Amino acid sequence: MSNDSHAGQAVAHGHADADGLGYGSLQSYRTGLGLAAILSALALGLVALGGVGSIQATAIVLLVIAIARVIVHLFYFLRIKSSAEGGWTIITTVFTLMVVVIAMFGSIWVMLHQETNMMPAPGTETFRGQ
Amino acid sequence: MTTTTTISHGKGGEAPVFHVTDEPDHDGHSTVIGFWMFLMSDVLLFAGLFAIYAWLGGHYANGPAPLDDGHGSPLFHLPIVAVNTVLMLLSSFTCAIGMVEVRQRHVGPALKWFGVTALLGLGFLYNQVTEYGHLAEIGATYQTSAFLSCFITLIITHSLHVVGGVIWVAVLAVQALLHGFNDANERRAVCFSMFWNFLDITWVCVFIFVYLMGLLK
Repeated sequence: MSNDSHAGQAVAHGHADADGLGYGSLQSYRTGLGLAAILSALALGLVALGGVGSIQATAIVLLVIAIARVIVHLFYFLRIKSSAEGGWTIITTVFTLMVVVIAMFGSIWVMLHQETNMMPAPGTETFRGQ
Repeated sequence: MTTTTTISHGKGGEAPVFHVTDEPDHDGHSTVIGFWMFLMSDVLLFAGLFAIYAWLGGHYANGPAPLDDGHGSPLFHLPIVAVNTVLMLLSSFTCAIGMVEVRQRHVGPALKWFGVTALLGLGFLYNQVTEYGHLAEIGATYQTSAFLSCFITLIITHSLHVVGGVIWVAVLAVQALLHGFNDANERRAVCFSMFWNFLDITWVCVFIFVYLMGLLK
């Protein structure tokens, strides 16, 4: 088992990419482990105890916890920062997140409206989605 | 090794002369950026699977559903999923400690922590395989409903990534035992730790968006 002075030496070890991805200190990993464990336990407890009232409210809380958990992982375990690799990792990450948001919300939005303005099926009296 | 060709033009219409210069290896920056871009493309793969699940996850076709597998118990078992979440998080942490040792070029301690990482990964896979077996047992197969098709595709894609990670760390261990953590093996270890952390991030999304949201009443 290593200790914090080891982590300090690692920085002084002087690799050219010491500030790059995958290079954190033991302290940051411990903080990350603690925060991630708390957030996961919070999400689990929330569902196990029956949520916070409505399903929608619980789902929104879970979404926030999930985003927080991913951010904790990116910052404390992967040590992503804007200066790493001349800014290329942050640019590709932001671009990917943009595509993910467009793909997720776009798909869900389109699929939820796929039957809007369709001809009614025989025997039904009203248009769906109106 | 990068090879650059320079040309000196001869005077008075003589044939040009070509000089080949070898440049030293770059220090691995391009590998890490390239691997990060691969991970981003993997994020897009999973985003697609999650988007499909977001739409089709509610189409049970009168078959098994998260809260009712048709035999009086829920299809999603919270305790097993919770154990898997703990295993993935702990394995991320042990992998990170292994990286601290890799930077010290301590082969023994690094491989010890990577070994723990692989064992936690195997424990996770054991639970997953048990779950697939249980699904098959109660007739919840790929063809049963749209929900099961996209659910099974999503979790099997994640499990296959974990299998890949375990194989990777085994190969890395052999490399490290043969050559120690030289620059090349250190670079490989960095890529492995990024990959393994990515597995945990993906699992957290599966855990929250599929299992926990599926169990909301």
